[in-house]
Amino acid sequence: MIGIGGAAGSVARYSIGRWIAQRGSGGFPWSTFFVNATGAVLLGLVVGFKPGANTEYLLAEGFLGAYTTLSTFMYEGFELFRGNEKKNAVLYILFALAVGIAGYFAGAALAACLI
Amino acid sequence: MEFALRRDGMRMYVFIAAGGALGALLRHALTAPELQNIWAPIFAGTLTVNLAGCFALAFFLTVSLEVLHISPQLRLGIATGVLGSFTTFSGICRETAGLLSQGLYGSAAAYILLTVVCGFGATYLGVVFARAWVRRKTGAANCTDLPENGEE
Repeated sequence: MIGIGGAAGSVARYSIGRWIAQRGSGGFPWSTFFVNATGAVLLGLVVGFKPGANTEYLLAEGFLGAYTTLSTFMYEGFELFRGNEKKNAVLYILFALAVGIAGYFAGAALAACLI
Repeated sequence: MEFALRRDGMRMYVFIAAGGALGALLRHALTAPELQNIWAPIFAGTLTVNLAGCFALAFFLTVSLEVLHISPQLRLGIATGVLGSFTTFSGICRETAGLLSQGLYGSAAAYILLTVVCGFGATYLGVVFARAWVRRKTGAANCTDLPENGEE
């Protein structure tokens, strides 16, 4: 279950990332930002529905765990930092985390409304 | 021609999917609740996985983009597939949100700070270690003309 979710999640991250990158990013890593933010909202939503073990494995740990990524996120932050965009790098990381956590709460709240 | 291109593209997806499955399973093996009791501190699992992944990605990308010429499919499979899927961002948001809703604001802030600072440090170390390794492999002579990295 986790393997299936993980495979689909990575392919989704790659496809969406490339789709966004083709639209031009202005030097800011929007694709990872977008993927991480939407992944956090969706995880809030999924967890909010209190899924069974298999759904949890497939969607939460597998798909969304793989769909979002920290290593690329940090690497991009580091690249920004190294490219002398220190302020942008710090802003990117903090902003993305704040959006992610807020997004998770929003997703969970939405799930609570829908149940 | 177009068929060949499409087949290449397909193969890329296969690599990423296989890598993603492997990365997610590895992450599960290291963070599963059954194991966390053994590994003690609450979020040590996710934190360890994320930091290890940050280090590994920085190391791998530095080495593969600058010296080691491997096929782009394999590089994507490992970087975007295995390591991208191994580390998780939504997991951090979930755990932090859990701490926040329990009123553990200090722990939440500490967790985030620890992840960001150590993640940054792990990435930095990954690049530095990779550079050092490359230098030793190739000899100090020809490591000045590193090609610029960029695509991905």
